Formats: sequence, C-alpha cells, structure tokens
Amino acid sequence: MTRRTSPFARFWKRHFILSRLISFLLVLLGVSFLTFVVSSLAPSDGAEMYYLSRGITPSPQLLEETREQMGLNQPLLVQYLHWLQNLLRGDLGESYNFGESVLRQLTRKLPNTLALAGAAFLLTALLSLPLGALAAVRRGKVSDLLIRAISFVGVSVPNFWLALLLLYFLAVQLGLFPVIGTGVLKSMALPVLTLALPLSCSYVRQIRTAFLEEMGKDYYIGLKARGIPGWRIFFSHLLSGALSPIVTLAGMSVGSLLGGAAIVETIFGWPGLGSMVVDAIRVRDYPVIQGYVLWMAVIYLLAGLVTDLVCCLLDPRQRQKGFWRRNVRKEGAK
Amino acid sequence: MTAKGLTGKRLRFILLAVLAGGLVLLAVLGPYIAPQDPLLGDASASLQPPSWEHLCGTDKLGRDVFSRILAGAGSSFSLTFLMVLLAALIGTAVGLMAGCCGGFTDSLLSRVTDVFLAFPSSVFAIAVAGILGAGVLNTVFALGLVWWTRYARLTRAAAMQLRERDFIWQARFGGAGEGRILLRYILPEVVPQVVTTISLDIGNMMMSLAGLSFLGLAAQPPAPEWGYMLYESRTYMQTAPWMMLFPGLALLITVIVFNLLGDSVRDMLDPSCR
Repeated sequence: MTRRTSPFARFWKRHFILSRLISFLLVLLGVSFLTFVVSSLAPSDGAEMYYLSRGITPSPQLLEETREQMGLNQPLLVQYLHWLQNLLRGDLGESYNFGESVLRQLTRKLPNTLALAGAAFLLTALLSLPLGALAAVRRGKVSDLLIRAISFVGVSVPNFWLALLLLYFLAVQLGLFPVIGTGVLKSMALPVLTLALPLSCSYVRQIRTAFLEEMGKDYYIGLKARGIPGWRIFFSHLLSGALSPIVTLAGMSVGSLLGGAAIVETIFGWPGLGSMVVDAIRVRDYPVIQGYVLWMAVIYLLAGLVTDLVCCLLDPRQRQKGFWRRNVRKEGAK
Repeated sequence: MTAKGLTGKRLRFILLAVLAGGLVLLAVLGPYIAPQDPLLGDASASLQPPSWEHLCGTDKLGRDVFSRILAGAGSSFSLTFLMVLLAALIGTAVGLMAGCCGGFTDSLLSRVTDVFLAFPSSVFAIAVAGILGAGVLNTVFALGLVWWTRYARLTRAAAMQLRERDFIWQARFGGAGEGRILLRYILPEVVPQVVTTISLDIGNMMMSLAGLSFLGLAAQPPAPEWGYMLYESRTYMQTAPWMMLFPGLALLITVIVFNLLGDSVRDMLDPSCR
C-alpha cells in the first residue's frame, strides 16, 4: 500500500514554481470547462434568449435555424472546443442584450471593481493588522476580550444588511454620505466600508491566532528570557514569523472581496463587474455571466499563485513543505 | 485541562445547544404561533411603525413583519440544514474516495476539487443560481455545488493520514477488505471533524442563502424569506426603517447563535483543541 515515488513525483517535488504553474494551467482548463458546462445547464437555450432579449418571439423554424447557426445542435464537447478556441483568441462572445462584446464590457467595468476591492483591502489591512496584533499581545486582557467580542459579532453580520444599516444611519439619518452615486471619493466610502468591516473582523481573529502561534514557539520564550523588550521582539521577530499566514490570508481575501462585491455593488449602484452580472442574471444574458465567472476564477487563481510565490520567497521552509496536497502525501507515505 | 474546564465547555455547549434548539423550535412552530397571517395584507395598516399590535411594524402591503419573520424562519432553517448536509455528504464521499483509493482516482478527484475551489464561492453560487433561474431547488443545487469542496479536502487529508496508521494495518492483516476499512475504521475517525465543520458552516450558509435571496435568486416573492424581505425594505428605508431592522436582526441573532455553537462543538470534538 505504500506509495513509491515515481520520477514524475520527484520532479513535482523539486520544481516548486514550475509544478505550481503546470497545475495552474490544468486547473484553468478545468475552470473553463466547468464554466461552460454550468452555462449549458440553463433551462432556456442561447438561441431563444437571443431573440427574447430583443423583444422578438421567434418561430420554431427560426429558432432551429439560429441554433444551427450558433452551433447549439452539436455535441457538448464539440461546442466546448469551439468555445475554447474562441476564448484563446480573446473572444468571449457577444452580450445578448447590448450586442457589445463581452470582453469589452468586462474590461470596461473591471477598473471600478478593482478600485472598490483595492480600497476595501487596504482598509481591511489597516484595521485588522494592528487590532489582531494588539489582541494577541494583550491576550486575556480587557482589550483582547473587547476586540474578540466585536469581531465575533462582526463576522456574523450579513454584508447586505450591514450595507442597509450604513446607508440608513450614515446616509439617511446623519447625511454624511450620498445615498447613491459614483465617481467621487465620498460615494465610494460606504461600499468600501461594507466590504471591509466584516472582512476585517474575520481577519482580526485569524491574525491574532497567527501571532499567538508564533508567540508559543521556543524562540519567543528564549528572547523573552534574555530580557529583550517586547516591542523589539514583535517588530524584528514575531512580525516576520507571522507574515506568511497573513499573506496567505490576503490572497484568499481576493475571493471574498470579489464575491462580496456583487451584492454590495448592486446595493450602492456601483458600476462594477458585480452589478453588471446581477443585471445580466435578471435578463439571462448568458455570455456575460459566463465571461464574468471565468474572469473571476482567473483573477482568483492568479491571486492564489502570487500568494504561493510570495510565501515561498518570504519563507524558505515553505519550499520544502509545498502546498497541502504533497504535504499530506509525504506524511501519509511511510 | 482539569475536570472543571471540561464541565465549563460542556455547560457552554449544552446552553448553546438549548438556545439553538429553541430557535429551531421557533422556526418549526413559526407559521402556527405567528400572531397574524404572514401573507395576508391589510392596506389600511400599510407601513406602520412597531406597536403592541405589530411588534415589528408592517410592510408596504400592511403585512405584519414579525409574523413574516417567524414564518420565514422555517424555510431558511430547513434549506440551510439541507444544503450543509448535502455538501457534507458529497464532500465526505469524494474526500474518502480520494484519500483511500489513492493513485489515479485520487489525482482525478483532487483536480476536480481544485477546479471547484478555483471559483470564489459566492461568485460561483450567484452565477449558478442566476443561470438556472430563481427557485429554491436551484439555490440548493448552487450552494451545495460550491460548499462540498472543503469537506472533500478535509476528509481526504484525514483519510490519507489514517490509512497508514497501525490500527488500520492491523485491520488489514485481520482480513478486512478496503470497503470495510473505509466504512468501519476510517469513517468513524473522520466524523468528528466533519461534524465540527458542519456546525461551523451553518451560520455562513444561512448568510449566503439570505444573500442569494436578497438578490432575488432564491425565494419567490410572496413567500416570506428573510433575505428577500430585506431586499424589499430597501425602497422604504427612509419611511419604514423597521422593515430592514428586524429581519436583519433575526438573521444576525441566528447566525451568532449557530456560530457560537459551532465554536463550542469544535472545542469539544477537535482533538487539537483539547
């Protein structure tokens, strides 16, 4: 039952970055296939939606012709290969609704979403790093308990409800921000807060754990025993030790920021990818939904890749440990 | 840990379990104990602020918000439990298969898991629910499709570590087949971790579900559903803030109780925390 290491496995183990890139490409292929399969699950097919979105009720004959034209009668795999071919040429199809190319629509909206997500990410980092570190250093004290209690409640607040509350209290009651609008920095404040607050709460908890873990190690006790002041241990030792879990956390946050953006953008009328896809869902604009999912997955995957590489640079131990799949296999094999 | 610490943990768990059980009971009994018909509107009582007659006020159609919250709890709870169990079931099956069979099966299943993991979960759920169209079953499908991966990862890693352990080898030498080992020896070892993850997931799942129905992707309009109630309340924010306050509060309290319960289950079951 014991697994023998094949030459392939050895190669996989040694060339960390190369193996990571190969698996990235493989997963990308799978992602494109899954995206395609999911959109083919739709109850009404493309040809029908194409006409309905233009306000035309097509005759069965016309429908059949369009299906033929769009290649919808071919087997799924053939359709997929055709779609993939177009994809590689950068052609994601046309939006049924606007007749605009999906790629153009995506690139037009992407900067807005990136601005929102970037600002939220920055705010999250600014909030959660100091608070998480503080809670860890003052473990068991009042400040720690307070931070933990608040962050626990914060994790349980649904983001769309938070958006409504912020809108009600800050915009409607106090009049600090415009309820809706774009362009100005002020109108960005509420969506950014909505995205950043729940995320910060979950990060405070995890950053606290990362620091506490680091503080439980022998070197910390040794440094303490030698009488080195706490702040120096913190900045020159603890911080670098806890950095790689924090970077990993940051990489994963890309996913929740992008996902959360869909709801938040819709509420605040922010013209980004999220509100675009919600609109597309309302009118069943499949190519747009398809393109959106694909882009999100690519961005998310890229973020994961960059995170791994950064972690690898930060922490040479990581290179031996690898990521979870091989890590476990090594422990599992005798 | 001393005996005292253990009883403290147990006490906390029992208290929270009772609390969560109470919420579930409220959800089950919701439609029967609701003071007013959650679907019946009364145009003369439109958008009334909270009073003794309408504890949480009324909405645009004059429906009692408190009754709607109670009636909506049932579908929220049952859907959430259904989806979490579905995800756990699929994930555990896939993870155990991958972990125990190894080799090609493992690589294949791991790749498939990786592909599903590559989508940010809420993005994928929104897209799947959007493509399939609004509806409760589609939502269950969409969220189940997204959430099983963590169970697969968890059980796979656990199974791989377990199957080289001495007691498994002993069972193998004793003539137990792979299927028997899987079901009688590995599965029971994995269950605590799965249960922990399930209990931690309930709160998140409930929020995701409410998020989807907030976008109009889950429940159909006349049915009372917390997420959709919040969506409707958006328009009346200035005149009727109670419409958004109370359903959100109900959701928040439920999620907090289940998150606390999840934490306490983890404290009780997870060997690494003992």
